[in-house]
Amino acid sequence: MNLLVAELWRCWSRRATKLLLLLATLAIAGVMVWLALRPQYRTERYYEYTSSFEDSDANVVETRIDQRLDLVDDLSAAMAGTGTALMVLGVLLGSTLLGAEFGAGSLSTQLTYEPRRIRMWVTKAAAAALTTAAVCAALLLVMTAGMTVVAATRGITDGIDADFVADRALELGRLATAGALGALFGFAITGIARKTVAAIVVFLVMSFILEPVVTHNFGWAEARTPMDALGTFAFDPFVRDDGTGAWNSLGQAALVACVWIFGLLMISGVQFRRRELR
Amino acid sequence: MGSAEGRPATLSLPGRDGGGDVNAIEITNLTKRYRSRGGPVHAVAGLDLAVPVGGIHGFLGANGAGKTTTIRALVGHLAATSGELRLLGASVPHDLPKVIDRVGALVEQPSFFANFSGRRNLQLLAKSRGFATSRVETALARVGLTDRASSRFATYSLGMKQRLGVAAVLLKDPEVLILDEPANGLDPPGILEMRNLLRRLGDEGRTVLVSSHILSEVQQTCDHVTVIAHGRTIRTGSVQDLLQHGSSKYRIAVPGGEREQHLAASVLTQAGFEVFAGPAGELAVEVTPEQADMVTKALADAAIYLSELAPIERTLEEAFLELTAEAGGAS
Repeated sequence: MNLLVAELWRCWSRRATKLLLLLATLAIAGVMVWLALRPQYRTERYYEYTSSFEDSDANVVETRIDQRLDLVDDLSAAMAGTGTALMVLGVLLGSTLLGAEFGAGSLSTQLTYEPRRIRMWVTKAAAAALTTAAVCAALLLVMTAGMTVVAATRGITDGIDADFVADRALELGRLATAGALGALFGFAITGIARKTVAAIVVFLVMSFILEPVVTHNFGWAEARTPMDALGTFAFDPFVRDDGTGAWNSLGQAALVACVWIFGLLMISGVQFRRRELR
Repeated sequence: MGSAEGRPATLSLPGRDGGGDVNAIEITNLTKRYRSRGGPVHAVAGLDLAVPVGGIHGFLGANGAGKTTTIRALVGHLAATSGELRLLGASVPHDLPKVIDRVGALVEQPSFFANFSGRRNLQLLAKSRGFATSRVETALARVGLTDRASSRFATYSLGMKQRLGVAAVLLKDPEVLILDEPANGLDPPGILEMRNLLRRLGDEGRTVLVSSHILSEVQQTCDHVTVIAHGRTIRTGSVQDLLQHGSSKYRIAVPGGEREQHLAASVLTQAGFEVFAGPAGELAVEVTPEQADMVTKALADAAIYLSELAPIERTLEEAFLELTAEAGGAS
């Protein structure tokens, strides 16, 4: 437990963690200011022709569009939109947290305090996942708080009930978990390659080149690849009718993502156990 | 840090009843082999090391002799190819966790998080073992780093980094300290402070194994030394024994002045001894210890009576170079 507390403290003390949290909070704050300052209504004009002939007369029709923030609809959409971003944030945090250790060479000093390498490895992975989940949850809470304030002052707060709160809490939990899984993925790849940049390159290559090529050419690989699984779990297309592809459920995506990440963590853990440290 | 008071005179060993006189560090037939394109390379080839409880033990060897490899194997940073390692009676690496809180180690360059302060780095280590944070300040004070403890590690000089590494070792208040080149990068006052610190640690009853290239420091600081070459132990014992071992040069003093000295020199030369001027310009002769009485007899036969016949002590550097040269010739 002492080791986990120390690791969590280290994760929170890192400049990269604070910087990412600050930048994301500033971005959310910027959006909130824009939402608060923009006009509540806008008018759209279009022409309504009296006949189908090109030279027919046209009437100008004006429509007043309500731009006010509706917390019930807009918060759900906003949270859904952050899923992929939080997963990427998780990959970045997980890989930098471990990459910094390899860069500093501090693992050898820590091993003189805790020589059980697997215990140290598991603790570091747990700390990276917990820190990322907490960062994601904090960002979502900041966003929720900001939108609530804007909706309460210049928007609509109708329809908020216990079910709505419970649904958002579940969504927050899922998104924080998606961030944590991203962190574990980044952690595992960095553990194997020993460099932060390697994890980011692997993440990009797998997401945009390798997996699309593999699933396009090998049908059996659909709904079995890690980045697709992680992205599906983070985005949750099932409740948004954006098409589920080969996936049957959110649980299936979560399971496939977990199996891949666990496998990668095992490989990196075994490597760390055997590795000579300098 | 802790004091000598209250420390056990003998070590308590894990899994044994009571204590007993035992070596704090024991290495038997340690081998570490690496694969390379040109065939296997032996970084350590059957090394033995026994460090008794208490005092300061020097660990000497030329670059590439296997010192750091041995120390890294001893603290579990690398796996030995074969051999047995014991720290405070616990087998390394399997039982190392049982004694890790009683052993402090500084291996090669101290490595910490560059963007954290020295204090923060130590606090992280203290937290990981549940130590009171007050220990951090004590350790920082002991190595003279309190004033710069809030600065980032990246801004530290080599000597300050080394001090922080030693502070990380002292943080545990360990019974056994394993220090790999602790004076590396220190300026002369820093070396003096390090020497005094090591002496204090030894006086407190702790066991200190220190590898160093600064042989004059080792000579002034250590009680015992082990010299290794080509991955093997070539000599171990007290510093005094090492300095006197194989010494064949004797300083001779005869009553009277320069005339008596010249007379004694010519007598010894005629008797077949090799006579030369000693380090301080005194009369000296090269004989084996067994032949020393023949020097006395030859001079007495010429009615010259010795007031002193004493071996000329070598420096540790001379002894070390001689031993490693012998080992080089033998290998």
